[in-house]
Amino acid sequence: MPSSARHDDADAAQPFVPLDRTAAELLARTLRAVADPTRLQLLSMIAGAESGEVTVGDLATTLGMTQPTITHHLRIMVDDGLLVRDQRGRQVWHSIAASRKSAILDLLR
Amino acid sequence: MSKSPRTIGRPLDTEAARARAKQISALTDPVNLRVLSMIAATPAPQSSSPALADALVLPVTEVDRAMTDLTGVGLLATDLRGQFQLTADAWVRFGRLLAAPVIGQATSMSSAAPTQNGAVPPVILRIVDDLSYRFSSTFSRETVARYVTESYALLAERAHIVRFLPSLTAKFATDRLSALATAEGLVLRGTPEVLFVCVQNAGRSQMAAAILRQLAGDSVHVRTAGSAPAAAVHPVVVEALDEIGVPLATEFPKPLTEEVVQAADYVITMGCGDACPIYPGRRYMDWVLEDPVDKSLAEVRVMRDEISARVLALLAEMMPTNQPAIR
Repeated sequence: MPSSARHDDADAAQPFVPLDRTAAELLARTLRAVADPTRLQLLSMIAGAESGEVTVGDLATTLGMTQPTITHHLRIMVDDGLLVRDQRGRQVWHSIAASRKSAILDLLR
Repeated sequence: MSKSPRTIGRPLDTEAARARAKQISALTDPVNLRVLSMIAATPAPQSSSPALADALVLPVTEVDRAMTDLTGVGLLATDLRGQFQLTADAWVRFGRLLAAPVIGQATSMSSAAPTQNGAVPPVILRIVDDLSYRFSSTFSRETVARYVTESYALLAERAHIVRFLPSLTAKFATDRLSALATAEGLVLRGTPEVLFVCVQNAGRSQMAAAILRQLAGDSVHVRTAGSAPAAAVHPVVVEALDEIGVPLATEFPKPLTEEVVQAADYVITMGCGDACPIYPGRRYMDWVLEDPVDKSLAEVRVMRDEISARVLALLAEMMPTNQPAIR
């Protein structure tokens, strides 16, 4: 997409293919999983974790919420493939799915 | 079981989380999403609701409703010409999501110049130490060392950059590492990232960047690069900016590198043509401006004023809600 062929500023041809209907419906469904202030707060804590993963207990303590509430929110995001769940012993760890990381981080900016 | 405090991220504050959730909620409607994506992909003069409705095969009333929703949550705003534009929030948070993936993005970048062959001077190791300390919460020493030595090689291979090579290396490597941290989402910046690219990174892009820094301060993060960087910023450019009280003292021409483009939300090219790679989901603009090289001070003043006007228009697009203070 050469930018040299243009004559005026401001609105260069965008290197940008708009979403088609199917892609938009798919993305809208994913966004539904994060369209919630608590879930965004959870994502920001997981994103900022030094090791990239956190336990339900860590999140509950920091946000001052009960573990079942946190678990409910996390499950929605796990079901949508945004988070990855890893049970090790009695602890369950959650991390952001590698393929979704950059998109999630943009949403938090 | 010991309850040693683990380091987890600080949560977004409630207010910020609520504002983002509202924007995301607006985009859980596929029509809103398609309208925003289409406006992002469409040059402004065509972004009227009938034209959009046509392109999307949707009723105009639906498109109007979507535009109202999106404006209400601060994802769309009207620019100076009354055209709907994505806000900086929209580009920063959703730009990359709104573009359909493009197959086969070709990029040719200044990168990985061989550094193994000559020994690096001791001062470069000192820079690695300093920057490893500075970026210790973000990057390993190995990553810092790789970027510092590569930055050194990129600057050193331009034989004419001899003076202040160590301090320029440190500055270039710092810029690149902070761009990398942004591109990889390791630091969350709420501010839009703007990249100006011209050929030599000695005139046009430096003027635009200096003026934008002066006007926007910390609310915008500004970077520059050149597709074929010169040895130094043109003195006549420094002089023309000094006349209007805009400092340009510590800037220097530097090559275009991958992470700097990746980190940008707004990319403004000026005559570098195809040299600047294109990633989907950024706001790209091409400003057609003459090269100030070999121009007289009087001619550069005219260019300076034109660039100044364009920067103001860009800023108005990015921050449409900037209201004059009443105090």
